[in-house]
Amino acid sequence: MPDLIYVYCVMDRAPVLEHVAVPEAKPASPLAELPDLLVRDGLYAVVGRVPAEDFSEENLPVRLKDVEWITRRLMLHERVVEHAMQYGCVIPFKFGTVYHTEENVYLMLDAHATEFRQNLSELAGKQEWGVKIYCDRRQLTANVAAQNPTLVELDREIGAATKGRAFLLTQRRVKLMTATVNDEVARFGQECFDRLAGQGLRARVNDSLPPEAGGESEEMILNAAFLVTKEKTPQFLDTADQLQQQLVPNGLRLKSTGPWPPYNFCRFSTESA
Amino acid sequence: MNDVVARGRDVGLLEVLDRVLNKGVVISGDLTISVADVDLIFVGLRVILSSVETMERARRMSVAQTAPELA
Repeated sequence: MPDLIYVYCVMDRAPVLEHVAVPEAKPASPLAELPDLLVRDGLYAVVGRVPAEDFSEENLPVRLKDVEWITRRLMLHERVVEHAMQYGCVIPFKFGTVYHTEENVYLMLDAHATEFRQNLSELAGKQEWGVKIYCDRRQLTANVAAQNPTLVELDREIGAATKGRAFLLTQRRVKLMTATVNDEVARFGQECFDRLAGQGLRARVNDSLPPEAGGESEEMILNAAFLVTKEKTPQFLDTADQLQQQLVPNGLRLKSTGPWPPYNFCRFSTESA
Repeated sequence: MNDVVARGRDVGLLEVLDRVLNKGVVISGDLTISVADVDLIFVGLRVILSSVETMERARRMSVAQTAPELA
């Protein structure tokens, strides 16, 4: 079976691809992995040759359950796109876009040429930054218990109350605590998002990932992406650092990452998710 | 990446899969990974993600012990 063509990203200038650091395969299969360029009318598709066996209808489901294979392919995808990004603006493809022939890649470039060019010109000189905020609910709850006047007063009342009344007051306390902590989480999340969005051109909130996805003990309360001009980036990162310092005493933690390829900010009218 | 120092790249796989699997331009190829496929990948990766994170924590802790100024 001839190899298939996997598309990593599209650009409007040629990256140098010889030095891409490709994650090691076990067993080693170096040649098939080095990325390549397909050029059409000033648009460059950064592609790789992948074994047809891996992406065939019967084998793909098996491969997708192979953690080592999928991890390697995901990291390879990201590394190739990041490498290409050093040479100019990129339109990153979603994982797993595969064509049977070079001709079909050219047809895809033709069909979407206008959209590629529009996105490339809009995204030039801009960077995507990711911001995730995590919350340690136990610490936030302890802070709220110590600082919220209503809860402090309630705790005092519970301490002085008879057993029956203390029971009722404790039930009230649980409800009030949950509501207050949720309000605090929403308030912190919104404030951070607004301040960071104020520094960026565009902002996007994505679904928070479930805790088991990252092995983080804390709960992810904000998963956002920002498109920032290169000039504004230092300011944006300063703001992120300031917010992080404000959050830490409250049991929250802000993690900023980037610059990323603009995964969150490509606008395609058709077929976009 | 030339003019701004990349930060937070030790996060590795979680951040990468949050973008590469969930985001990026969706153009139908001759073969395209479906949403169901992505769900399948997430299920498989949860295991490895928790172990990667644990390893990174362990590494950071050992760095902190030997050279506190680097932690």
